[in-house]
Amino acid sequence: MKSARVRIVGPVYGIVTFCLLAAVTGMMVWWTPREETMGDVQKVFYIHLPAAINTFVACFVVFICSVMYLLQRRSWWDDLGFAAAKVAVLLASIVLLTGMIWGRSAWGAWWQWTPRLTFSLILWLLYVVYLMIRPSIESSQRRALICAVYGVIAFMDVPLVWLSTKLLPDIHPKTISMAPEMRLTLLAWFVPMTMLAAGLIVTSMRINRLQRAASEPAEELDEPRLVPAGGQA
Amino acid sequence: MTRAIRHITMLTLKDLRIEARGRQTIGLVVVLAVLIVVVLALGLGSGGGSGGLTATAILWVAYLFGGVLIFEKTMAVERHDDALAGLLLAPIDRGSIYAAKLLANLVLMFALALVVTPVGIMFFQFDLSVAPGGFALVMAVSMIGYAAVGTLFAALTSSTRLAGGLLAMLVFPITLPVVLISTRVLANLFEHGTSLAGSGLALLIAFDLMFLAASWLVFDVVLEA
Amino acid sequence: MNATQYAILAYAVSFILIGGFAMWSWLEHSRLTRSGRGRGGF
Repeated sequence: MKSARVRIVGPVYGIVTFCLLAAVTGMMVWWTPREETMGDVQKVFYIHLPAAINTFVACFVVFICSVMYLLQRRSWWDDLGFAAAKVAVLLASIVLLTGMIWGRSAWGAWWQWTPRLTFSLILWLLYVVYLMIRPSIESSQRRALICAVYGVIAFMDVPLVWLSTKLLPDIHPKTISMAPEMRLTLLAWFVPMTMLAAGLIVTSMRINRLQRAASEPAEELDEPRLVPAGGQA
Repeated sequence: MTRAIRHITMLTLKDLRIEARGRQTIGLVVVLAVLIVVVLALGLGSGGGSGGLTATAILWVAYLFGGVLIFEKTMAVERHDDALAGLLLAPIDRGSIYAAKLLANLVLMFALALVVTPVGIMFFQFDLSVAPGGFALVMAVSMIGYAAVGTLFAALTSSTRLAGGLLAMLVFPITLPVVLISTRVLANLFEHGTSLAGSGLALLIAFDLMFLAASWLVFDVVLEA
Repeated sequence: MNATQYAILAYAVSFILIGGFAMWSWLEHSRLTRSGRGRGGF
């Protein structure tokens, strides 16, 4: 019953998101004015900022799931946290890449060790590690536990990373004066990007649940690990 | 409270006594750290270079890798012969176990730093005489933060097959701000002579306190035989 | 490359990443729902 509803809602949600994304892309291309000093590359900003904000949201979801897992020990939270971490890495990659391309055009260099670039890089690294360690932990409960603790600590680390990067010299634009069209387009971009992030998290979550359902019997066989990992030679 | 302190000193001394009798960890770690410094010194064209920042960065590489090895080894001691199960059965607060492990790790890390820092300073002709106290303070505060996170994750990863590699993967990105802050603070201290009272040291202390508190809270959940 | 080309590059890269991820999720999802609960299953 539930899956029948999902079978309708899922594609509809996907199509709506896609159409909205197409619409805001159109707005960005034809409606917004060209910024004088930077030229068209300023338009990267419309995807850059919503992606950045949604990265934080996804990281926050990872944090919440990690806390809930530690409290309740339900595999559900681990699957949702994993899904959110995947999306966080995807969005952080977009932030990093669009930022780098913008920097190449505006500063003439792909990379500068400015606070915000360093911050996005460390944030990206933090959550890539979350994804990369998962396959190397055999026991699914141990994996969930390690990832949950890591999810909490990594999120607590984020403000510190931000404050520490502030010690670096800054040349990043802080505020730019925006025409009304620009502001409206930027706001409009938040809608499909947030929908996209939410949709991808939910889809990944469903994949994780299905995969767990498929592999759980096999997993349970090696679960009782009474023998400590003694063979560490 | 006094009971907790007695437990902590007892457990710390136990770990240090094991280390003193076996001397498995510290020798290995010191040699590894010296090797790292030598490799980097040779790789960077036999030192000289830009002084201050290079030396602190290279010392950090040595501390980070040495630290991971220390955290892993002191936890592996508990895994052998199921010592952890006994420890968990004893009427000792889990927080005390964490504190004791952390203290033992810190003693070993300071011992490591005591050997490696002079080597690094010598190879890179780093002039420590400008502010030796400041250098020691910043490094000590940074190491407390690093050890706080390292001890927690060592307990988590020690039962996995990849233990050491996994620990490094988990701890390095989280400690990046510590490395960034301490190298910045030291660069300011040694190159511009600014005092330590700035925001950098406060941030390091904030990092320490935050992760000490978080680890203390989470450690209860983490330790499962 | 000029500013316009960089902007196009940035959006192309972003859309490829998003599209790739969405496509992969969709394929994975339909594979898993089609093959039922069993492991393997083409």
